[in-house]
Amino acid sequence: MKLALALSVICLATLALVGCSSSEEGEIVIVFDAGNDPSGATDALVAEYNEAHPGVTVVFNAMPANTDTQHDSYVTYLSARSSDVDLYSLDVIWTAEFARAGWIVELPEGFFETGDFLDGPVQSVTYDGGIYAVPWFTDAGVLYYRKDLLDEAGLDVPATWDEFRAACRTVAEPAGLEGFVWQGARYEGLVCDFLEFLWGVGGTLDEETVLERPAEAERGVKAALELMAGFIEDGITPDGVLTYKEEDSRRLFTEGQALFLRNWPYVWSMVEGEESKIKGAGGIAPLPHAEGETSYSTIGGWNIALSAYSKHPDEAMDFLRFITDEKALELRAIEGGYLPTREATYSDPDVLAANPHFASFFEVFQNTRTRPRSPHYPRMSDAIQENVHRVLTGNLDAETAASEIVSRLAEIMSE
Amino acid sequence: MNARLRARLAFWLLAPALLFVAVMGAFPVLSQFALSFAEFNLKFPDERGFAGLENYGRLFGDAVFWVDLWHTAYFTVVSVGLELVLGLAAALLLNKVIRWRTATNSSLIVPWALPTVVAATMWSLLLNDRVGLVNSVLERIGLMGEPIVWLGPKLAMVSVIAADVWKTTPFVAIILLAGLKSIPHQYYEAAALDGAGRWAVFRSITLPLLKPFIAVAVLFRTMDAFRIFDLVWVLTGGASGTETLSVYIYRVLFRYADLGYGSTMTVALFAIIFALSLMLIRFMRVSEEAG
Repeated sequence: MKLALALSVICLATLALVGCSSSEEGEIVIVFDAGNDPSGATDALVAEYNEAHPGVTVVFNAMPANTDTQHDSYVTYLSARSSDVDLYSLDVIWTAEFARAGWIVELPEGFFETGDFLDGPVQSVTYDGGIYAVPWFTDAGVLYYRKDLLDEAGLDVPATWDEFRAACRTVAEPAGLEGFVWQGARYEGLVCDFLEFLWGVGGTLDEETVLERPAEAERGVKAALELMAGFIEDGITPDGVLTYKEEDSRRLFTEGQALFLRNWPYVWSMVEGEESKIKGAGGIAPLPHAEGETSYSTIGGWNIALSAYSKHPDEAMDFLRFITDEKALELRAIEGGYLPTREATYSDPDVLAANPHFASFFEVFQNTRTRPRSPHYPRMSDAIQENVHRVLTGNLDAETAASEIVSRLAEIMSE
Repeated sequence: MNARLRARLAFWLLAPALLFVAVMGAFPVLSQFALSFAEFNLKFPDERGFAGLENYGRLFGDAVFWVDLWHTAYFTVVSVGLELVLGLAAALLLNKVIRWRTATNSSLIVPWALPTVVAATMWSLLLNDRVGLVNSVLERIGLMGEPIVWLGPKLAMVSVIAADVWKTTPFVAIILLAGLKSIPHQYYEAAALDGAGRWAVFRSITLPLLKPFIAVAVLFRTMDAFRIFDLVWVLTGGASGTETLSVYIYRVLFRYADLGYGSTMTVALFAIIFALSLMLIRFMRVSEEAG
């Protein structure tokens, strides 16, 4: 009995000692949370910084790929005022929300030269006149297509949806391929795809139209929903799309099973990658639009912000400058294909050598639009996601869904 | 030391632990109850205050809440029903096993022992329409033309229920197996002497004596099924008509950081489950007296 007691005391004491982590004297640890970077470029940059700055250790914490998961995790940490993370990589749509809640710090005047960066990304880090993050990399929806198959059939890249559908019928069907795959699962990505279809048919969900001309907004939304549902009904798009996120749809394309894919720029490096079955056979173009309208891509991308609860803001900001400067963006562009947010990087010869397609992306980037920028964005996104998905699954008609979306958005926008 | 003094000493020694449990248990519940009457959103720190019954009013008008309640109820009834039938069948079979008893019982437990998130991730991979094992096998044996989208609009609820039944039937089976083992042999021997057939034996001896065990299993499973979250979240994220109340509450609490309204819904969910449990217990008692 006594022996058992003595043993348990010793065990507990040992555990307690081991449990107390001993950090080296004076070592400052900066934690940087961001989505995973499979190219290893970010790890290389962090290692470079750590070597050059003894006494400061930057830790790169890779988060799960799903943007919503990252969002909800960050909301949890910041609501608890956790100082465990110093720098957060934020999706472009979160700036307003996080700034309004006081979770991220407004960066000092002149922290970075806004003129050096692309317009869209700079807009996405601005809230209420202040700058709350540094643009890190940008994204916009792009159409990928099978160049080899279209060339064989003597077809140009379709510019309108009618041409697009014709191409699917004449090329995809006989070849036993799916016509068009995109992201139709019920998540944030669906909103990006939906808005591109909406803008391409001349519709809009900007605040002025929604609040002052709701009927006009509803018409646009209804047309977009009918377009999307039409793809599935006509068999151009497989039913599975309703469960696809980025990687599921990408896989179909790089396995050679689809003619057209709407996805983000990252897919290009996978089309040309080792495991792709269509290496050298892919092409990039802006998305099609309705006759007489213009194509717009949803702008995506990620910015880096400083936590309001960081214990080492100065050191964190120094790393922030490093990870967003020209050299860092160049490395990420060359190794990982991440689209830089600095304009000058697009003319860098090394970057262009590694990514000749950046020229095509630049074309797409001429016509981009942002999703609604508001602290209430998650609720807007959910309202759109729910109703669009229900139309696609055949559980709701386009007209009712359109009126639901516009009225919910109007309600949220007038709060 | 006499008994009285011992009891007193025991109480005082336990008091700190009891106090700790009371605080850890009661405090969150009470604070949630209090929050349900407040306007409290973490993203809007300057818009906080007492809101009276406003949140409850909002709850009544919230169509999403009532639709999700229906999804949750449907899911609970179907999956608990299936688990009961399959669990009983499994228990009856296992009762007859004499050789390899440990092996069969242990392998039965595996689905139940797997963490739900792990099981759900596994199922979502199995059911993937392009790269999943299920479709692969079906295609190979020639039973499938177009890939079946298990987690899509038509079959999502079916898939979620199937995954849940797979996971929790062992729980029901184990409880019922214990029940079967507790039925005295003499009853079966007497029935055999009287020349009773298998079905008569089952109906008049096995089933009535199993009733309390069935009741316990159903009670536990109903309470659990009503609160289901991780399975739905991983498999469908709540899409295609599978969003349950817990998923909606998670969205409101974590995505919108609306602690006030989220707490109101939590209190409502608690009230529903509490009422359900009371009804089940009452039903158990009544049937016990009648049986």
